[in-house]
Amino acid sequence: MLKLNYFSDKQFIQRIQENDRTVLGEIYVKYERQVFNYIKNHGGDDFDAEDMLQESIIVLWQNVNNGKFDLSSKLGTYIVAVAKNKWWAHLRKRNRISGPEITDNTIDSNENPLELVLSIENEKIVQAAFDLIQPICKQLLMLFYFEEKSLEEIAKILKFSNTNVTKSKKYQCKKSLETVLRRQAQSERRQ
Amino acid sequence: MDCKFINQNDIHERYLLDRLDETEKSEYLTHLNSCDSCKSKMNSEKETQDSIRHFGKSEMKSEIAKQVSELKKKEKSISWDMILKVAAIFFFLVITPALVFYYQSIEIPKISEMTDFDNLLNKEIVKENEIIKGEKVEYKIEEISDSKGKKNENISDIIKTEEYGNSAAGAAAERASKSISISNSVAKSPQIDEDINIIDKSEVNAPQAIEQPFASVPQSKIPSLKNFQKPVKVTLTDNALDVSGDMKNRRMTTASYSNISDKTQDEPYTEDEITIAGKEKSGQISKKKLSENRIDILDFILNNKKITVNLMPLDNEPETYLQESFPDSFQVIKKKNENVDLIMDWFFNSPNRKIIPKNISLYLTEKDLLYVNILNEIFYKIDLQSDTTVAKLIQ
Repeated sequence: MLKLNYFSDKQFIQRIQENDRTVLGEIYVKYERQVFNYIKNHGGDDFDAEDMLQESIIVLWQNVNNGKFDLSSKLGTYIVAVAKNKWWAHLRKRNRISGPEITDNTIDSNENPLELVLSIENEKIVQAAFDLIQPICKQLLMLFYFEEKSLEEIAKILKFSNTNVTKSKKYQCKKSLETVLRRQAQSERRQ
Repeated sequence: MDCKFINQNDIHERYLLDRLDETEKSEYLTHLNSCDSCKSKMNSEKETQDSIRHFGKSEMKSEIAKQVSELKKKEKSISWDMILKVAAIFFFLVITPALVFYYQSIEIPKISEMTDFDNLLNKEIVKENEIIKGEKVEYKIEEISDSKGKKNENISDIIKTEEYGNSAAGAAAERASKSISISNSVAKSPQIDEDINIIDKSEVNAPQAIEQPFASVPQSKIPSLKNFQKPVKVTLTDNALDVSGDMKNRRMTTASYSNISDKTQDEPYTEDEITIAGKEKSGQISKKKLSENRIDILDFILNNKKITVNLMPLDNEPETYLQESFPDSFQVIKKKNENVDLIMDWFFNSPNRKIIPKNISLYLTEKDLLYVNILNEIFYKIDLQSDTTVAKLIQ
């Protein structure tokens, strides 16, 4: 734990760029107090704070990987700002209350109503579908759609010969997932 | 932009991933508004991407939580490591020197010594002798009135018949309930005050020749306590002193007392057999009967600090017993700041007995040990009629 204090913001970003996933927990621990204090002082509880911090780290991870992140301020400031925006967005959706206007682009642009209304049932379907597809497909789809990495980066990470192979594999994997998802959904409906 | 172009170039996917430039985006949205098929495909694509993202987010959150949990565990163990290290350093730098200093500065008997009674006695005997030699010996003579003398004669006769008899304890115990109230009333009677006065007077008239009866006893004549048997276990009940254990070289196994009016041939003890006389802080001596309850007696002893135990010894005590007699027959437990001075006064009153002055200072603390110590001495057999040096000195 002591070593966390010695990682600079730059090093954290570098580790994200290198796909070092062990950085996730370390970022959480480092900024836990700041985010928890804010959320709990603004109507949230531990669970909300935990969720907001996790969401913020995910946004950081995605934005660093898709090139949208620019380290112009301290990492802590960024994480807390994302958490704040996410929290107010969450409150507006939940309580329809007024809050500060979101003025920056730190809010997750991919967030959509469908995601928010995914029920536990749908989660089960998706989970089952991912369990059924090939592990390499799962990894590839996650890298492309969730982490929003480029085909070149994915080719490097998954050791594909070139981007065309990656693109072709991605297409197959996506079709495979869609098929499984449909089948799972039909099976669930029959039950 | 048409449907074919959109499908061939993954425009739905790129739009949702925000990877279209503004021109492409505008053309795509224009087409989408007029194409239900593309709209449907875009929705399907969106659902797939949302599913993947939702799953990815859920997986990453779980991963974060797992990592955080592990990191916090490590943090805790690191904290404990640090605490233990600091504690160890503190212990070695502060506590250890303090303990060493403490144990060097005080004299504490080892546990093994404390439980080894013989060793303890041998260790302390020299100190005890020194104390005795340094003390001014008080000589006490109890002038027994006619009525009292009569009582004691009776007692002596009874004691002869019951000497070493184990039945004494049972008989005494049976009388226990009766003796409490009666003895208490006796303790408060004018007779006690009279006794006290007599004792005070006798102290003043003590003959000089026997002021320090053991002062000239050569060390070699004092028997080693190595040969002394294990101490007896003494239990002070409400109205009896129960003594058990190895009774070799001890006078009685049980000391008890009862009111004179209850005395029969089977009752060897009377109220006068064992009393504790305490010297008050004012210097006045008062008496307590052992028939009073234990707590009272303990308080009495501890409050008055100096007590005198008066014992009526038995006749026909074998000469051999004298060889292990005063002042060796008690143990001394010393503890800092908690000293109790105990003065033991022996006497008897019969044609064959003489008044025996005997003052011994003991330093005692533990309450039960106090009684053990007293009784070690009281019940130790001594033949005052023998020709031994100690007996002559006492006489």
